[in-house]
Amino acid sequence: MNAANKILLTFSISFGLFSALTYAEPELAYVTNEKDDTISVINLDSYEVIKTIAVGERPRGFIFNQDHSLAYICASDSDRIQILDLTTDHIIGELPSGDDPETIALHPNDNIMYTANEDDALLTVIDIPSKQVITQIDVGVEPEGLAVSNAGDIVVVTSETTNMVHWIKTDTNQNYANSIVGARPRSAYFTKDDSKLWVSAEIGGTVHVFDVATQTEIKQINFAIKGIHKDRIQPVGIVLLKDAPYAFVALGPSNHVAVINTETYEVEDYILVGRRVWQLAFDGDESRLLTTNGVSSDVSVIDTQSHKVIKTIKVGRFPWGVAVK
Amino acid sequence: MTNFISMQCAKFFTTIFSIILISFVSSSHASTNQTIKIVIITSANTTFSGTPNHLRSPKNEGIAGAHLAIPEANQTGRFLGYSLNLTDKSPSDLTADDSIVLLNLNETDALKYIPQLTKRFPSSLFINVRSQNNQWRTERCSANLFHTTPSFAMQADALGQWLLQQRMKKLLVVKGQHPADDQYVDSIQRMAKRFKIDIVEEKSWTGDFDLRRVAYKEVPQFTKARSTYDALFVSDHQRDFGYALPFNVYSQAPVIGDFGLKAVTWHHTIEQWGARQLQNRFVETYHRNMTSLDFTAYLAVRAIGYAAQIHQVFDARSLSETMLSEKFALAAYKGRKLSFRPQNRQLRMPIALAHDAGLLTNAPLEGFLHPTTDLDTLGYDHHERCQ
Repeated sequence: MNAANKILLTFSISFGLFSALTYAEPELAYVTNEKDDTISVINLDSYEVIKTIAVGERPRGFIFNQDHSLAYICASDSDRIQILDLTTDHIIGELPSGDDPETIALHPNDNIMYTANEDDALLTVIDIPSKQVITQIDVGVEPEGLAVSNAGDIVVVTSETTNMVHWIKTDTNQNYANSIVGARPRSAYFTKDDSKLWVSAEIGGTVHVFDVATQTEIKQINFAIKGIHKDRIQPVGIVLLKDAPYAFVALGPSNHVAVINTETYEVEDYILVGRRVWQLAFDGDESRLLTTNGVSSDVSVIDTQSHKVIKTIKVGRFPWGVAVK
Repeated sequence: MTNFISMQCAKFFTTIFSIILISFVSSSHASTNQTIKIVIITSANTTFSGTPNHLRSPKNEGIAGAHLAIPEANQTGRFLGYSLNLTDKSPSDLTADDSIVLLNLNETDALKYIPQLTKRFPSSLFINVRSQNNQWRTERCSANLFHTTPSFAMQADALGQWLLQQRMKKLLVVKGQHPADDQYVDSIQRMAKRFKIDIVEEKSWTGDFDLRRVAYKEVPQFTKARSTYDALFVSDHQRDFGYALPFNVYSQAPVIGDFGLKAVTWHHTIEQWGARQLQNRFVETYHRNMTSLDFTAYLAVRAIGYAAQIHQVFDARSLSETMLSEKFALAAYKGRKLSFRPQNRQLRMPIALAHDAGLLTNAPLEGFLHPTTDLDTLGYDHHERCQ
């Protein structure tokens, strides 16, 4: 919460709860629609799409900067990363991305952007202020999932066809280790304390948990949903709650999200959502989880306590990335 | 006994070797380098004079796909200490040293060379990337022969599942003069029997008039059958006449088979599960679309690369053992893990149902079930010979 909001809140409380509600801005979810070349913006109070923003071709990866004033969008078929000003909804610039950027990750210092170029087996490192490519790092075939540690010292990238996690030091941009995972690894996610890394393997049908210090696998998590063939259980997006020991994993064409206890690594629940569930994002206080459902072109909203779907919202065609501010 | 001991020793050393290799995985570039040599044998490209220019096969079909997979496999191998290379050879130049061989053979050459080579080089690993003849999967299997191309039976079953789901129960079958046309029709007959589809009549194309001039008038007469039909299946391996059928048949039925709705391994409209990336790489390299034959050759190299990767083994025997092991789960842009059927070493895979401009769906279709995997609803099952 920034200083202005704090003052506003204090001011509001002194005038009673009603004023506080009047001044609170609704949370907004931004969803990239891969086949419509647009972003749907959802008001999370009314659960309505309040606007649709035209962006570059085949938008996929989508993230905010640290203060949520800007968003970065992978416009894969336009071969660029676009910068969206969130106050005006205008594209105000772009970053050189290399060919076909699919996913992006921002260093916590807000100055360095990482992007995976699927067609060239490269990880591109971009300096945001100068809009220059600093370096390109050779990784495995079809790099995809990206994650920067919370401390900012490590970036990892998964390669879908090489089936590896590549570990890279952010200060030297050196690839210092490579770990084998299940077939077609997709997303990677660091735990809050950076001690562990979670990686999903779509075709392997598994999630792998690595010890970050040694880059060794400490746990492989398997899934089984009654009535669904195991080949259709394809883990993609992963998110972990900050204040409770739970992880949520999107399971693709099985149309379910798995709830995993991060202490026991047991799968405790499967939540039915829309078709081909892809990426996940929490709202601000992590009480709600949003899922993009590519085939049914909608977003499911899950209550993270009760594990119930509380709303389904129609968006554009093939929703892919999602983030909440 | 001696053999047994040496096998045990070999296993021990393989294990030690694997451990050493795995320890290299942690460093950025592995320093040991194992080379896996792959040879590809390709039939001379003969063109049938009746095939219109725009339907002729690209000269480098198949080989292009295999070559595309090499740098990709090596990009992975760089981290693990192995590399693959690919050379072209003629069947007569093949020696026992060529331990991994891809067979990109037309029907005549397949009948001649497949039995000959698999027998002469029993310790080599052969992967058939082109011949769809069912007999290599049913009666004339060989322990050292794998297939990354589907059989005609798999294709026919994919079309059959669609016919059944559309409730199309009456089929007219039209075939050309090539031996492969008969093989595809045999598989359609097998499918029709299993799915209780009525083949109202079978007709052979004799090619005694010039299609380019009179197709519009002649084809409806040619496709007039004893009774009406819901769909027309055409088998035309040489692409001699089938192109004149869609929208021009007597019963106004859809055309399926080698024209119209096709059951294929690969199609330029496939883009899910990362397929778009593969299509992009192929088009960028070869300036044309990737065909099914390019894809099956690509898959053969990918299967070897993947086997080397998961077990860190590099000889033909260990690679084939790995390819048949439980752990083998090849990700190949099909949204499913692919594996080889143990009884005949046929790669299980979804079959795309596509027309020129788009992908309809992938077989197996929903509702077709099998105790092992629904992928085994396509083609010959384990109890149908060849163990």
